[in-house]
Amino acid sequence: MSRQKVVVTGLGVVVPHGDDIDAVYQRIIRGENECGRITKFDPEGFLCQIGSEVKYEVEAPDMVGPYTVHNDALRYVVGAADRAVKYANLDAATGDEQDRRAIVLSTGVGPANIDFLGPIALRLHGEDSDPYTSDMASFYAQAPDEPEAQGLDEFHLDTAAPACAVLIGAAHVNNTASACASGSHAVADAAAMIARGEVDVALAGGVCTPVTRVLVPGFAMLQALSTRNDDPEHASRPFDAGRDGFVMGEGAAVLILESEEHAKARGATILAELAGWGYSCDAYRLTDPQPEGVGMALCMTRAIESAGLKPEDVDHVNAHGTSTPYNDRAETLAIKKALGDHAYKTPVSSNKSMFGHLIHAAGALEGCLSVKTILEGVIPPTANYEEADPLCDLDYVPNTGRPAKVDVILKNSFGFGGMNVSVVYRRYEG
Amino acid sequence: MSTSRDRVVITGCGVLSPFGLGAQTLYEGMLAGESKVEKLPEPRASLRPGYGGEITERPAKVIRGLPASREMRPGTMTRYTFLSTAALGDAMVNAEVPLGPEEGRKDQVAPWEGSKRRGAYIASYTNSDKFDKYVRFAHHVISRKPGGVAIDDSKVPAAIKKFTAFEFLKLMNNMPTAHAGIQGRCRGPVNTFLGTPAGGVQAIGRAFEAIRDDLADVMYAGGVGSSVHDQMMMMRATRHLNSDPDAEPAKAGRPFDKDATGIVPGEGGGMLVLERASTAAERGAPVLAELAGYGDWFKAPTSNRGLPAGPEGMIRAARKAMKMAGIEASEIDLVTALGESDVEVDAIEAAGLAELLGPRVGEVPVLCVTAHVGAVEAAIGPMAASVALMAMKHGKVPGDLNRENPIPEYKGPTSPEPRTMAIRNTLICVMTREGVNAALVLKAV
Repeated sequence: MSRQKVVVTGLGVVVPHGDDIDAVYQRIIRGENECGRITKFDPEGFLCQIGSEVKYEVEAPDMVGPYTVHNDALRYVVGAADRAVKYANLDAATGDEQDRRAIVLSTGVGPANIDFLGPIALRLHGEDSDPYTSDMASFYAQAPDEPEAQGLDEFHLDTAAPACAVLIGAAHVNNTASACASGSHAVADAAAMIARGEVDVALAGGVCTPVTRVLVPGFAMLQALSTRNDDPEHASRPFDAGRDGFVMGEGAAVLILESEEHAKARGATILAELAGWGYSCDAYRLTDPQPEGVGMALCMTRAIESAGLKPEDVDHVNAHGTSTPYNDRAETLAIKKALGDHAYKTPVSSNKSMFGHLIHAAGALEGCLSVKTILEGVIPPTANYEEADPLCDLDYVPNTGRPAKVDVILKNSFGFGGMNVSVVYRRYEG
Repeated sequence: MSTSRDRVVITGCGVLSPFGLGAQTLYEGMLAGESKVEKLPEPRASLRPGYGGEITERPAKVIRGLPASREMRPGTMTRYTFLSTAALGDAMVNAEVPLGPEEGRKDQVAPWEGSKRRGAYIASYTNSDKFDKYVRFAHHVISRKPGGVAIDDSKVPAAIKKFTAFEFLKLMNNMPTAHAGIQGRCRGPVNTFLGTPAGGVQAIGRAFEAIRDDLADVMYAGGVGSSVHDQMMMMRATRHLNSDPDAEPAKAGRPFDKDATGIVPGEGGGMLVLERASTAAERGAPVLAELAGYGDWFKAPTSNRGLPAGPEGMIRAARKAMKMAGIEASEIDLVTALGESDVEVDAIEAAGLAELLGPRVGEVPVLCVTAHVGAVEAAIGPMAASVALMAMKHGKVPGDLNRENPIPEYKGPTSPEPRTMAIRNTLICVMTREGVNAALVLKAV
């Protein structure tokens, strides 16, 4: 059975830098930063007070089919999907044609918004009572009639992928999560469905809204976040010797993938080829990457081989580059394992230096920027790179975007729990 | 990527249910016509419906002796992860999968070569099970304001110290799969499927494709679910979906029955070991059945959180699986269904089964695990598949518990007693309110 060539025909984002991918890319190659002191709540006294927030009004449909777009996460992802569909000039399929379309969306961390719990807690416990001895039973007995309890729906984002399916008329809906690797995982899974001939069109991406009162202090307790609170714009500094953790970012990013045959038949503008993808798991620890980067290297090698390329064909690595001490060191080792001597000649940069870590949306956003890099010919910089770490000794494109002809990009995404995905984007040669 | 389209076989199945550990245990309980839906302890007894199919054995006791990893500690596992590790461990034992050493930071055991061709796809509706804990956190951070209450951000830093760091990590939705990767020694593809009871079947279907795409030779695939914890019970209660609190618990799960009153909470985990047929043959693995087909189909429901928009999605999913397996409706001997115990939803599912099976609808038994253990969310497909594998092996299908007065749309056979029969092909169907439908075909070998 022959493998279908997979191409990218649409990009859509709602991220801290804006909701127009072309403008977002221009800001990124200029090294503009959106990390700052959190404004969505007062972070005074928090271990980490830094976030990368969507601070503008997001335009998105209020309803998609039967689904109400009722919270930030849904607005972001439906907004991004809507923009990607328009970018690709794609109509919604109907009837049997829906069988040829799929959604692969990562929505692993929902809103995790505890605001709605305040009234419940007050009703349950009283302001001054001890919550550990309160009468849960009497509250539970009333719960079905408590309007505040309806807020439990906020804990889940199970309508995001179905809403996107309505947008493009897709019969196949996959809602997946592999932590920080999720966005690229969704892109790779969608590409695999097209490559094997299962569908012709797929909408792939992710959404994340982790800048909340629960998740920011929670991840700070895991020592995953930067605590450079007095200098938030410089907090995300991948591969720099002074890095101390990542910055939580929010937003959504979506790519429209198609078989080359389908894209050509409908006269779509082909932006790039999605040439290969590779998966691996560290099978090591829940919190730390395998320190030698064995699993990371394995998925990079698998992605390159899947694309039918050699390591020396890679022109640029769009790194996972979280800005945590462990990740950046292991990723550097892994790039050297996967690319050999070619690693030292390959520009490696981390977009997270400017918008932080969008967790489940990160891989898709960085995938969108990789496509733009191939089209526009400027490699985004690693911002805030000031002091070299002897253990991170590659060319990280420090602080300034670099003009270059880039034909092949290796995009890495690695997640908590040791879940690794690499995707190869290649210049489309019709 | 090779597209070898090799045959995929099932070499093991693992289950943790309110009946205990093991597919055989669940199967025997169902053969005996037993229900494990019982009154829940307080405070959940006060939360509608106050009963459910709960696993009451201590997690440490359940997983003792199963393949494990050093990361499997109570502090790193939610209820969902516990269900997953137990079901996976059981499946690994049954499949007799070879297991290399676990790599660790201190002893620096080198990565085991055998792990490169092994992966895990696991489904879970969610991984959040501690509503009371969230409420307590909220209690610590609220302050009274004119007209109500508001979160007082200045209280958060102190309140957060009541949690441990791992409590945030373990709530991440990919944690059951992350544990599986380490427990099962997987360095191939691993992923988590979310958001719908069809997720377990989707995980199995995608794992099937991963083997056929030559990404792995062995895939652990299945799902877990729990709706007996307060968060899920409350969510269902606010949507008025749970069953009648006055019903006799053991009689509450009534798929396709006129007297059904709603969803019965339950919990469980089901896991299959899928292998490339040639690889399984090389190692002389026990083969339970061939996984011959997979299909899925999304059809948006009538409204947000509403009813499925008719049986079309379920029918299309099943027909895709049957087409891939190369079988007609006339070759199906057993169907497993969701059987939610909601009369309106069951009527749609029953209409779908009638259209799918055509003239044979009156002959093909419809097996419903939910009648015995309640709604097990994303575990329903894998658990049903595991029971079906037992039925195919033993040639005996459990009777239809509590299906005493079938709804008019249900045209299938009804028997309170087990049926002895040869089973060539089983169709595993999961239809969901969310509109995501998925199906598998298991072929006897």
